[in-house]
Amino acid sequence: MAVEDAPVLGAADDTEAAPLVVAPSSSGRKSARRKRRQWGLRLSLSWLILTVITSVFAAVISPYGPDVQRLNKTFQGSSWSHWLGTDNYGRDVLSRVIWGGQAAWEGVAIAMSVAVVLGVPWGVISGYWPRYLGATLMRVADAMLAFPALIFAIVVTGILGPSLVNSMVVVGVVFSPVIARLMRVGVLTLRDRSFVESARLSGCPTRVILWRHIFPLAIGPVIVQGTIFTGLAFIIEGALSFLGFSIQPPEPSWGGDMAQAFQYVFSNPLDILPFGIVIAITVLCIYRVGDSLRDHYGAIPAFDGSEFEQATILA
Amino acid sequence: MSVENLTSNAETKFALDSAAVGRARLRNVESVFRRMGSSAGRRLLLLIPTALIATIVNFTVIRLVPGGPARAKLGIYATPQTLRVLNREMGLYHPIVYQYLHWLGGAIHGNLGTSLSNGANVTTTVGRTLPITMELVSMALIWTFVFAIPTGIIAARRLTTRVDRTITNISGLGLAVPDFFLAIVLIIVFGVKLGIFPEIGYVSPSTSFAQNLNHMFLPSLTMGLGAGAIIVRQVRGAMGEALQGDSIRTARAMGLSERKVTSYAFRNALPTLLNVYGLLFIGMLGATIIIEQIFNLPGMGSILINSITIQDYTMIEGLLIIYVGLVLAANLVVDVLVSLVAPWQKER
Repeated sequence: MAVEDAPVLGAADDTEAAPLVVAPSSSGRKSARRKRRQWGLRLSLSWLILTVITSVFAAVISPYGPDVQRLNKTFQGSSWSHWLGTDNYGRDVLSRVIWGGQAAWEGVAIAMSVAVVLGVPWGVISGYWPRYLGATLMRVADAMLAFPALIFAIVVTGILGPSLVNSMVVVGVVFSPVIARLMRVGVLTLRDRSFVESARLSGCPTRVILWRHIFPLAIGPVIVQGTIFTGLAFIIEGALSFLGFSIQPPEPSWGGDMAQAFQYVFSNPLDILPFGIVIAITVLCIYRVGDSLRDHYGAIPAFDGSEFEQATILA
Repeated sequence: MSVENLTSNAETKFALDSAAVGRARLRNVESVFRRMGSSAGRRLLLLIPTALIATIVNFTVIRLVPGGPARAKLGIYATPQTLRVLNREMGLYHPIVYQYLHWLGGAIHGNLGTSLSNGANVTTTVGRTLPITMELVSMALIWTFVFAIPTGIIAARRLTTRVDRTITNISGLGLAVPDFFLAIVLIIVFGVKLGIFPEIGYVSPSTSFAQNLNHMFLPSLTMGLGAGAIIVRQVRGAMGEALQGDSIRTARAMGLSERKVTSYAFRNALPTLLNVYGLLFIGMLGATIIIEQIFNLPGMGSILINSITIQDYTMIEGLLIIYVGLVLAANLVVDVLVSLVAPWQKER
C-alpha cells in the first residue's frame, strides 16, 4: 500500500512533539519512555547501517556467491554451512539476501536522488513565483498525482524496458510532485515573511534569497517526508522486482527472490520468509528514524491544512 | 437564572441527537442539494484542466516506446514495408497533435480503441474486468470499516496508555510489511497450512456467490489489513484531536455518556477521515495490481500487467486513463462528501 500516515499525528510515544498527546504526569515515566525511544532509534540505525555495510561489501561478507548453484543441495533447511538454508537451485539464501540488499539500496538511492533533484526545484519555483508559472507547475503535479503511483511506475518501466535503474528512476519521478508540493507550501509561507522582504529590499539576488533564506527553513518537512518515501521506495522496489519489472533474475533481489520462492509455496512455504522479513524490518527501521526526525523538526507546521495533508499521506 | 437551569438548557442543546439533526437536514434538503450541486459543478470544472494534462501525460508516455509502437509490436526483424502498413493502420503517420485529438475524441465518446494483440474492444475489456477490481477494493474497504475504525477509536480514547501503544506499534508494523509479503503469508497460513480458504483463483458471482466471496476473502483481507494499519493511525490521530476539543470537554462536563461523546467526536473527525479514505483509494488501486497477480484474479490489474508484457499499447493507454478517471472521481466524491459533513470547512 503506497500510503503513509501524516506526520502531524505522531506516534504513540512522541510525548514531546505530538501536539495531541498529553504528557504523562510522572517525570520518571517520561524519561524511561524517552530512553526506550532512544534505544529504538539506535537499534533502527544499527540495522540500517548493518544492511548498508553488508550491501557495499557483499562480495567480501556473503559466505557464497549469489549465483553459486549446488543442484544436489536444494531446499535445505537452516544449518551451520547455510544459515538460512538454500533455495530451489541450491543457492545460499543468506548470500542472496545480502546481495539483494545491494540491489535494494542502490535502487532506493536512485529513486530518492531523482525525487529530490526534480521535486525540490519544482516546489521552490512554484512557491516563489506562484501566480502563473507556479500555478501551471502545480497543475502538472496534480495531473501526475492523478496516476496511482505504483501503476504509473509499472507502466512506464514496462515501456522503457524493465531494469533496476529504469524502474527506480520512474519511482523517483512519481515521488517528485509530492516533494514539490511540500516544498511549495513551505516557500509560499516564507516568501512574504519580513526577513525575506528585507533581504529583497537590500538588493539580495533572488538565488541567494532562495538558497540562504528560504531553502533551509522549508526543507524540514521534505526531509521528514523523504525518509518516509525511502521506506516506501523499499516496498515499491520489492513490489516491482516481485512483478518482474525491476532487476531481472537470476540477479539477486528481495522481491525477485520472493517471487521465485512463491513458485514453491506448496512444498517449501518457509523459503519466502527471509526476504519478506528483511524488507519489513528495513522499512520499519526507516519509519522509526522518520519518527525521530519528525520530532526533531517538530510537528510540521500545519501550513494550510488540506493541501499539506494530501501531500503527506499520498504516495 | 439558576445554575441548574443553565445546565439543563445546555443539555438540551447537546441532546440534539442525530435524529433531530436529520429532521433539520430534511427541512433543508433542498438547500443541501443545491449546495452539493454547485460545489460539485465547480469542482467538476476545476477537474477539467487536471484531466486534460493527465491525458496528455498518458499519451506522451505511451509514445516514449523506443522506435514507436509499431516497431515494438513487430519486433526488430520487421521489414520497412510491414512497419509502414502497421503505422498507417494505427494512424501513426498523422501529426502527433492530430493523433492526440483523435484519441481524445474517441475517449470522450467512450471508445478507447481496440487491443493491438487480439483486437478486443478496450472499453468492453474494462467493463468486464473493472467490477472484479472494484469488488476487491470495496471488500477491502469493508474490512477497514469493521476492524480499523473501531480499533483506532479505542486507541484514541486511551491515548498514551499501554493499549494505545500496543495498537500503534502493531499498526506501525502493518505499515512496514509489504502487501505482497502479507498476501503470501496469508496464503501459507490459511490456504496451505489450514486449508480453510482457496489459495488462488476466481469464481464469478453469477456462477456462485458464496464461492465468489470465498475466493475474494484472502485477497480483500490482505488489502484490508494493509490499509487498516493506515486507517488505525489516522483515526487515532483525528479522533484524539477531536476528543480534546472544547465542545467535547463541555459535553463531558454536562455528563453525557462516553458513547455519545465519542459519536460527537467522530463527527468532528469525519472530514479528515474522508480525505484519508480518498487517498487510500488511490493507493489501493495500485495495490490491486499486485494482489490480483498473486491471487490470480482476472481484474484490471492483471490485464494491465498482461498488456505491458505483450506490449499492447492501446490497451495500456485505455486502462491508464480509466485509472486516472477513477482517481479523479474519487477525489470529487470525497470533496463533495466533505463539504456535506463539514460545510464550515474552507473550500479548496
